[in-house]
Amino acid sequence: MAKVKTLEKVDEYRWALPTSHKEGMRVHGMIYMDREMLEEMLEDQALEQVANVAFLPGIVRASLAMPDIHWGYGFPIGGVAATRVSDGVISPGGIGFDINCGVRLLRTNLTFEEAQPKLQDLVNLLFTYIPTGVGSTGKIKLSESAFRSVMTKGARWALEQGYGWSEDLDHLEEHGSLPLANPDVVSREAVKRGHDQLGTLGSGNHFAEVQVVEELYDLHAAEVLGLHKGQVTLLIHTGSRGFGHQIATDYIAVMGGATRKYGINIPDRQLACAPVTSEEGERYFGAMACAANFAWANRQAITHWAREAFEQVFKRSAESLGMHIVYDVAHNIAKFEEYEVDGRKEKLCIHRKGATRAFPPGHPELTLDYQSIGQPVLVPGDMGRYSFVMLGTKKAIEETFGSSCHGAGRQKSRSQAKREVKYKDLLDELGRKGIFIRASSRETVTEEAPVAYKDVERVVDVCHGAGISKKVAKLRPVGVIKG
Amino acid sequence: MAEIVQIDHTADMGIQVSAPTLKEAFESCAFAMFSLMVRIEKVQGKEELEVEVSADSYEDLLISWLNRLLYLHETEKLLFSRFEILDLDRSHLKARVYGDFTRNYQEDLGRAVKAATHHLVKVECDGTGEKNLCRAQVIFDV
Repeated sequence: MAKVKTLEKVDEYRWALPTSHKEGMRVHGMIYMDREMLEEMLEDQALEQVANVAFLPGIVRASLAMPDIHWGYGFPIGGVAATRVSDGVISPGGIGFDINCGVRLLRTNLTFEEAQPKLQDLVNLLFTYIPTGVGSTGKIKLSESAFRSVMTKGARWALEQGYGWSEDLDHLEEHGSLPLANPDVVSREAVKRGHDQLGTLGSGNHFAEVQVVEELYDLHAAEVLGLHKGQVTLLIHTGSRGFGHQIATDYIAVMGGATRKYGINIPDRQLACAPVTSEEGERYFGAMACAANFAWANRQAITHWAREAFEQVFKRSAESLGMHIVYDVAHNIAKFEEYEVDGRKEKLCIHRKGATRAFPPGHPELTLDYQSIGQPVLVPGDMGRYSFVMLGTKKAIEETFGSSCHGAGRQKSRSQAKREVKYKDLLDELGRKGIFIRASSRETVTEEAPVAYKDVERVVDVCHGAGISKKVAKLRPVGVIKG
Repeated sequence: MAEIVQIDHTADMGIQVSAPTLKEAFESCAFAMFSLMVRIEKVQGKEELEVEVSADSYEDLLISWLNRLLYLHETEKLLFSRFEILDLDRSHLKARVYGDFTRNYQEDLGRAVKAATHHLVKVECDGTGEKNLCRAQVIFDV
């Protein structure tokens, strides 16, 4: 592979893309990957996108690529970029359209043997309770004032409406509410688009999945997380729906003008940006935070209905089923965080586009019960194989601005998957593995077939091997609902 | 006649359109986008709306046009199947679009499109010779 030669091997899991690769790169690229995955990655434009992100003014250390990196639009998916707040930029493309797309894991005290006879009923009821698919609308209709509260309070708003338990917030990144949210900079269009979408799953790669804990790698950490072999869990993957998409659309248009106004040189229009401290930058952050909070309220409402579905099927209260939240992570978001850069503390704007925060043990952001083990990093795989729970590490703070991977990463395009996979064959194959699926669209199911994704275990192993997060548990899907 | 080709993009979906005129290229991009979302041949054109967007270039105008349609799809609960561009210049587009309510096509729905992106967007017209050919390219976040 000719392109591999443009990369400098640092060690088994790290590959540097030098600034000489493309004129205009302010920092080098750093790709976390093994050699085999690297060769697959070089088949599309992801590497060029790593180089393009390195053009952003104020970027520090490196343009980072997690092992699940793949070709996105502007930023690569699986990219992390940290820019100085003092003189750097914020780019909506570095967060994406689905602002605070994220993953939430709930545990239960059910064993698979107990749940199995009622699994199909459970999946059917989850599918009934949680609206999915194109154009789906939710059971919650937001008034203007309620919507403003969702934007500023996030998951806390949902809790105040009775969707959830007070302890839930402790196990959400940012406690389910990002500061600096400013409803005044959100367009009427975004509000109109989001007003009936709270509590909906959406389409594409979003899902809710009933799983079984298949393997544990760190018994102590698993104990702290309340995870045991053979136990039933539920993983929810969704984001800020049309509300977030509209905010991103609005501000990418604003940033197109800002890029010209501030004379910023970027190689891809989708990287349009403005100084973090400019009016445009501050307005975008305020709107982005509103969408992030909408997404946390969304996952909170879905959690509530999921608990109700379990209660209905197993004829026990969600409390007695032990349906606690293990954790909730955002994997499309920007945050202000402090890191040491060139020997001094610097306030940075961390863009995580398809990447998960991975804070180590002892980090002040973590609740008391996770202080000794670090922050859970939830890594969904495909619907036919497995997902992983990992933990953040000190090395992630030192190297990746406290970030790790977010999923398997696609290896086949949607049309390629659709050509290769027959809907019925896929259902049969999943059925043979004991996986029951309900979906709004056949097309979504075939496009999301396991064959379209990289093996998430390879991704997780690179993160573990490189030390930017560590493996705790493997979860196997047994029931899936999709858009 | 316009020609629509899907581009293989690893995570998302893209389209390339060739058409005799710029208006038809813009109409075909909208048609292609809704084809990703529904069996478009089934969608009747009972409802109609007027759409107007402004931008600084043809590329920006194309993205604004498509994103405006996605906004109307979600807020008006409509799927669009016929597009008629009434006016089009470098900074302004006016169109009439026809469609029907999403709820009538639950069995025919495909994937949701989150947005039309600026990544690799292209609008080009070859004005030389007898054949005026316009090409447009868009990558969607799905």
